[in-house]
Amino acid sequence: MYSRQFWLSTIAAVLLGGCATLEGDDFAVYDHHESFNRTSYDISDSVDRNVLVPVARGYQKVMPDFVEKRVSNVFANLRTLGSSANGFLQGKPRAGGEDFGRFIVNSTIGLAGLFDPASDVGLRYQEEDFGQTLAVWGWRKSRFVYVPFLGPATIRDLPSTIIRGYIPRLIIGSDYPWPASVVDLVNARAALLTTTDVRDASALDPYTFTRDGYIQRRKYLIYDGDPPLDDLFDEFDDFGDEE
Amino acid sequence: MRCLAGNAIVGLTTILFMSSLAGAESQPEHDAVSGFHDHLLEMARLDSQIEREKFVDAAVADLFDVERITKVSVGRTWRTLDEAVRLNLIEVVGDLIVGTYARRFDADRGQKFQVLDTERVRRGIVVRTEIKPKGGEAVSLDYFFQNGKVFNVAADGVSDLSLRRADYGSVVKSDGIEGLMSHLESKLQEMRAE
Repeated sequence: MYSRQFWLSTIAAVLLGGCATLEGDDFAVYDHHESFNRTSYDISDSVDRNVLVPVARGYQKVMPDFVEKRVSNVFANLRTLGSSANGFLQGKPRAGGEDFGRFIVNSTIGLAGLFDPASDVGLRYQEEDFGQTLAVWGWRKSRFVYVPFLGPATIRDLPSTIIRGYIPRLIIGSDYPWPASVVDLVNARAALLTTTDVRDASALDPYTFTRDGYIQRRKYLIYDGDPPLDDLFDEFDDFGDEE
Repeated sequence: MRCLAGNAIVGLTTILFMSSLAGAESQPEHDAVSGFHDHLLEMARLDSQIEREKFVDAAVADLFDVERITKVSVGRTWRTLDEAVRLNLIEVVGDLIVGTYARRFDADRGQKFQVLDTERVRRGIVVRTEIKPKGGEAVSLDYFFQNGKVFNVAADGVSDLSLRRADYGSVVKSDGIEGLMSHLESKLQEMRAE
C-alpha cells in the first residue's frame, strides 16, 4: 500500500504544478499531461456509455417532463447557495444577493425548490463556483485535467468539480439520503445528453472536442457570459488571407 | 437664443443621421441571420435528411465563408496542400456544415429564434441571437461576420471554429491530411445514414 507520505507528496506536486507559471494566453488550453488525461477520458467514457448513458436515457424516457423538471429544480436550488457565496467572494454583491434571494424564494414559496417562482420575478441563476472565483482573483492560466469519472476540469477548477456532488449533503447534513445522490447523478447526466449527442455527431476526436469545449465554456462563465468579442476574431489571425 | 436653438437642431439632426447610418450598416448582417433562422425552421418540417440538406445548402453557402472555415480548421498544413486537395476539403467541410444543420433541425419542436442585437467590434460584426427550445433554457448563438460572411458561430461561448480547429488539428497530427479527409467523409456518411 502507498504510504501517507506518498499521497501527501503527490498532492503537493499536483498543487505546486498547478501554481507554476504557464507561458501563453489567459484561458488557453494547457494540456501538459495529455497522455494521462486521454487514458482517464477513455476509461470514464467507457463507463459512461455502458452504464450512465443507458440509465439516463431510461430515466428520461420513463420520467414525465414535469417530474424531471421538479427533480432538477430541487438540486439546482440547493446549489444556488454555493453560487451565492461565490458571487460575494468575487466582489459581485448583486449577483450574490440575487442567488441568495432565489434560494429564499424557491425554498419557501417554491416548496423546497420544487418550483421556480424566483425566475418569474426576475431573479436569475448566476452559475458561479469556486473555480470562477479563483479565476476572478487572478488564476487565469491553469492546466487541464480529466478527472476519472468526474469529467473535465483544470487544476484551478478541481475543488469545485469534486465538491459539486457533495453540496446537497453539505447543506442538508447527515439526514441527506444516499439514494438522493444517485438521483442527482442520473438527473445531471440526463441533462447533459443533448451536449454529448452533439459531441458524438460532430467530433472526430471526442477527447479534444470535450477538452476545448470545456475550456471555452469556463471562460464564458468567468466573464459572466460576456467575454471580449475581439478575442474570437484575433484568435484566427494566423490563418487569415496571407499566403 | 436663436443661435442656440439652431445649434441644437443641427446637433440633433446629426445624431439622428449618424444613428440611422449605424443602423443601416448593421442591417444586412441582422437580416442575413434572421433569414437563415427562418430557413432552418422551414427546413425542419421536411422529412428526410437528404431533403433538408438540399433545402438548406444554398442558404449555408450564402451565409458562411466555408473556404475560410476550412482553411482555419486545417491549420498551417493548409499551406502545403495542392489546389485539388484544398477544393476537396472545402467541399466536404461545406457538406458537413449543411449536414449538421439538417440533422439538428430535423423536426419542428417548437423552438424559437430571436435576434437580440448587432454589435460592431474592432475586427468585424457580431450578431447576437438566441434559440429557445420549447420548455427549455435559451442558448445564446453569436454569429461572427467578416467581409460580409460568417466565419464562426459561438453557442453559449463555445466557438464552433475553435472546436473544429482543435478537432481537425488533432487528427492531422495523428493521421495526416489523408486521415482527416477519410474521417470527415465517414462522419458525413454516418450523418446521412441515420
